[in-house]
Amino acid sequence: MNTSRSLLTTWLMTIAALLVWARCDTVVPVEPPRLVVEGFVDAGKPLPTVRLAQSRPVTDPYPLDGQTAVTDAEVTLVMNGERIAYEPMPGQPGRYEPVTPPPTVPPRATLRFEATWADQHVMAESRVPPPIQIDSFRLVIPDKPVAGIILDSLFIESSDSDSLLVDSLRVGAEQGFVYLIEASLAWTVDFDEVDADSAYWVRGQLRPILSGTLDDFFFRPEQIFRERGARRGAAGERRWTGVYAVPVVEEEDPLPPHALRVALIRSGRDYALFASSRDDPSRREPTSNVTGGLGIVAGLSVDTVWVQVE
Amino acid sequence: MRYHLFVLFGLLIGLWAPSVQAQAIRLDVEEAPLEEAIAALRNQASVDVVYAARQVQDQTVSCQYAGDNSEEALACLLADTGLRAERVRRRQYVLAALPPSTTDAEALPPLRVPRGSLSGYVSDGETSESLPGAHVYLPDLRLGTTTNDAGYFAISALPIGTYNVRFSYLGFGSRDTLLTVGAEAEIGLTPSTLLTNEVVVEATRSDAMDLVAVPGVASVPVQDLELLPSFPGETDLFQALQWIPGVQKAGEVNGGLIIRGGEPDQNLYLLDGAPVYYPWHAFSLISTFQTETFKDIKLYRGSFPAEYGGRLSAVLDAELRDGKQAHALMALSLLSGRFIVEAPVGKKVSFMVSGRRSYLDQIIGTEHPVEENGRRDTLRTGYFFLDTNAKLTVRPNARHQLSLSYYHGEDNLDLRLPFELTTNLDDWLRPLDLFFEIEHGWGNRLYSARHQYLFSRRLFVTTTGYRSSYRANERILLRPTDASSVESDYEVRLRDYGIKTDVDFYPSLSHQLRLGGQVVSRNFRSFLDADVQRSLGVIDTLDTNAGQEALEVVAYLQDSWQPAPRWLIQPGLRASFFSGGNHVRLSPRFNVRYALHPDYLVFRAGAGVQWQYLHRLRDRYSFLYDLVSSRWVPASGSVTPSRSVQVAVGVESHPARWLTLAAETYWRDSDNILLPRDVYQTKEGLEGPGIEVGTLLGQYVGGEGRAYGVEVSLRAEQGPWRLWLSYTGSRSRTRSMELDETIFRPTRFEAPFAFRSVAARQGRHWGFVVSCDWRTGYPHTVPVARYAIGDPLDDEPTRYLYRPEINNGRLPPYLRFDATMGYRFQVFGVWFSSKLYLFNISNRRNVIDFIYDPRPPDGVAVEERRSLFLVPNLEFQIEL
Repeated sequence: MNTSRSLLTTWLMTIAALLVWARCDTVVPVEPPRLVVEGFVDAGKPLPTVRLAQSRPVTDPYPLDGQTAVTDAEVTLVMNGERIAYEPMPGQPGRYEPVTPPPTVPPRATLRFEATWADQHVMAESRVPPPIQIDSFRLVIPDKPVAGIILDSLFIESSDSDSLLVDSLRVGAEQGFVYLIEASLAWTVDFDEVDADSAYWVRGQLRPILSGTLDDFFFRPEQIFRERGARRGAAGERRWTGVYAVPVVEEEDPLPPHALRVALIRSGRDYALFASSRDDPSRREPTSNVTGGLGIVAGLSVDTVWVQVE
Repeated sequence: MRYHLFVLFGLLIGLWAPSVQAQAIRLDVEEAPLEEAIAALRNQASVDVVYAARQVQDQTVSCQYAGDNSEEALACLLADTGLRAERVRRRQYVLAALPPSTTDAEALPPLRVPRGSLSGYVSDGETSESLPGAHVYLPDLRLGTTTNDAGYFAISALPIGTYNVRFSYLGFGSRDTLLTVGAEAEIGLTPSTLLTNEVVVEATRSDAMDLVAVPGVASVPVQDLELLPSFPGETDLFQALQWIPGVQKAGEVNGGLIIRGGEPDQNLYLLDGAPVYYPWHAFSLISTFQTETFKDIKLYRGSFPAEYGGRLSAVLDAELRDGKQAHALMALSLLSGRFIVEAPVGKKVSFMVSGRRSYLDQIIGTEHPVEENGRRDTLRTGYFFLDTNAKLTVRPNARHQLSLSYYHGEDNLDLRLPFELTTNLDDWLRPLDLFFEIEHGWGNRLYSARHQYLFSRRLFVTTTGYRSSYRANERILLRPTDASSVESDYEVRLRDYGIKTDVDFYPSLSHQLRLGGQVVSRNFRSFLDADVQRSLGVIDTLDTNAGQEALEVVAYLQDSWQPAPRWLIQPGLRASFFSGGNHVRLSPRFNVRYALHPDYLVFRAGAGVQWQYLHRLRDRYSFLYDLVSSRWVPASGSVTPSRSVQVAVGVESHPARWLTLAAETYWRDSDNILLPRDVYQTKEGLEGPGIEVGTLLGQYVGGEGRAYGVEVSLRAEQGPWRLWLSYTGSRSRTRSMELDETIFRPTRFEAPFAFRSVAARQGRHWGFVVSCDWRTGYPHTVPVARYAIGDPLDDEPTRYLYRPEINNGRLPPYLRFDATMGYRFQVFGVWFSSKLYLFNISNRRNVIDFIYDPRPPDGVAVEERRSLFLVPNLEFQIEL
């Protein structure tokens, strides 16, 4: 019986140890300020300035006026193997510019960005794509608006199972009238899409300057897609068509005159991931390519066109 | 750390290992009573000698022996007694009379006395349903076995004679009877909770579990499961299982089953031996399994016997009732109506049919014609679920039984409504210009045939063939403007054809072999046909399909070996081949039980390797597909099968007949499981990356999982009273080296501490159940900082949260009380009953999520999401 007693004792001690072991719970770490970097290196343009800031605790205010700027960092950019030192710009807290007159960014240049601040060393690597240019642009504006739903969100997220029965159908919808305006862009790809050049991404965006906002769930004011998969025109040019909606109150209301910015960005995967993950700040932060810090330093090529829509 | 547990496991096994050293025996008796002399030998040689009192009565012996051979010592003692010792198994002998013509025991060739088998069937004495897993125990020999799926048992190579045999089964009164070797027994047991005319049969302790070697088996009697509270008051198997330690639902009331930290797709659900892939209704609110349609339910939480496989976490094996007793039941709750009819047809045939359907759609109507200014339209608000079970059992003779089973579970959602829903019906009960139509349906259908054949008294063969299918379709028609629309038709199909054979072979008294094989052909298909019209001139068309096929071949062998009365050792090996990728995998299993005392202390330990060839995944981008369904993706050349290694050690004690205490620890390591590549990615748009399998797999990365914990439970049953308490301390972690995760992080539903209690009183007329569920809050990702970043196309930076670690915080603890009150009475032999169920009786609104908005400049805005309030349900039932 002694054996059984010792066995039982061993067993109970094991259980007690496991209970204590399981007691150690997750601890929310205290996060020191992190270095946030932002730099977009545009093909064919002079080497740009970069912005450095720091993160703050969630309970603190986060103004965008430079109070969070980092002004004493060491910043360098290595482009195609050439090291270019950066220094703070006078009067613009957090902005850094090349010490020497900035060279023009050549297409396909390799980039390596480094910054050191308060014992933090951050690094980001990217590659500059060939320049992109909007060759043609066409708007299709209907004569009359159509009846339309100004929609918040129809769907419930069934994969997050505990949301069921709690949110119900979150339909913040009301009926009105909208002008659905189509904008078609075309651009040329004057290089062979092989190897590294086959991995470019394109972001097309239509941005009307309007008062008020409209949920664009059903339309397509913006799209990020692989350039290789873009629709092709008769001459081999690439095409993208976006749709945006302009709401009006009555069916007889004319289209409100507004400015429209049409933008096209060619980039690598780093910027595509960043751009496609920055629309919902409540849900997530954008995907970063910065090691040791936050933000993004990426090569890209931007072309924009402004038009007045009447 | 895992190695520590293996070492601990090994040490415990080592501690329990019996001494194998030969012992010195010295006998010197003169005209001593035989019984006393045998007792002296027992003490010196640690051998067990079994005999009937009449055999040794008035017998005296003289013997002088010195040596270390217990058989020689026994022969010395039995000289001139007319008896001889038969070796039953290691260190155990039974006394048998010498043939009349023999005067000298030593003249007989050793071990040639005739032997035979003790065999038969054990069934529910009330319903005649067979009882798989019932305990058959020979107290004199301290030897036992359990019945197989057909309720059959056999103990082979017993010396011819008559033995006292005890039969017991959890939830049934035990029964002692005398059985003669060679005869075939038909034993009926009486349910312990059976309400007879005036008497409540006393509850019995769980003798049946004493002979189970596998740790982590939960075999709860169906009548007990019916008592357990289940939301929303329906008799639901999976809801009831949540009260078992280590089992929880992913969400508060819906979501899959999380068993010992495993993901829901790591559980295998078997219905009459065939798999059911998605056994859920109403967006995982309730399961498709009606508790009352089953005669036996076993839940293996981690360590499976070798006959089971294909999943990493758990196996639920449910057997439908055969319908051997005439019985009818009809019930109506606020959610659904259901019925069960079962009856024998003659002596050889019986059937069971059950059905259930929700009826809310019948009350509010599925179609609503509307008219305005001469224009007509029909709005639709249809949703229902239904399930049907049917089983036909034919037993032409004692050797054959054929069962045909059918199961069908289905959900259908059919809506055609305007977007601008409000509580004022006049605002939207009119013909629609802009609307959404949703037709979603999903369900399983299962046909199976099982033949059970008693080839000989030592050989029982079970062959099962089945077709199991899962189908989900998602049809959407959205018309948000007069110039744009979304029309989508998506379908997922999975179809299995399988055949398997299980052989129970009883070669000797100490060994019981179970071996078998299985061949399954699987077919996976998904289709998408969608047109997304953004405006009059911009239309995107998606028309794709994807499919895969796979063949799985399995063979297994398992021995249940009782080397000594206190030991049961169950080694096993399962080998499988999966054609997708030509994977061949071995799954060794090892379980052991040591009964220090059959009543007071039983130890169990188990270790095993599990492989899973299927992953259930869901697209994380598009609303056009995988909205309510998910897809099973088979292993292939590029998808490695998942593997888990689990070790579990447990102890069970019955300090009193009414009390069962149990504790168990486990550790499971998994690898090659699939984790989301981006946990923050949720469905957000119409056009996703597509339904191709490679695209879907690209949203996931390979990872590792780790789960460990301790479960302690108390189960007290006295008369009409029941009290179940359980505590679970557990961890469940994952990481992916592809995501550069060096440390494990908590899974979404990790609950380090959980305490549950159920107190019930089930009287002849009144029944009460009060339950409590307390647990640590689920993990939650807490932002630790805030920052802002701009974009070349933005005017100013946007504020974001910084969440470097996933699930780095916890929600507040969860606490909920439920209550059930029932009353039943009998009129002209018909039982009428009503049951009031109150979910969350304290109306405590538990916090189930926090939502952070980083955009306000002065600080992050935090919004709490809270759980369900008090929900009542009422059920009426008529039972014949």
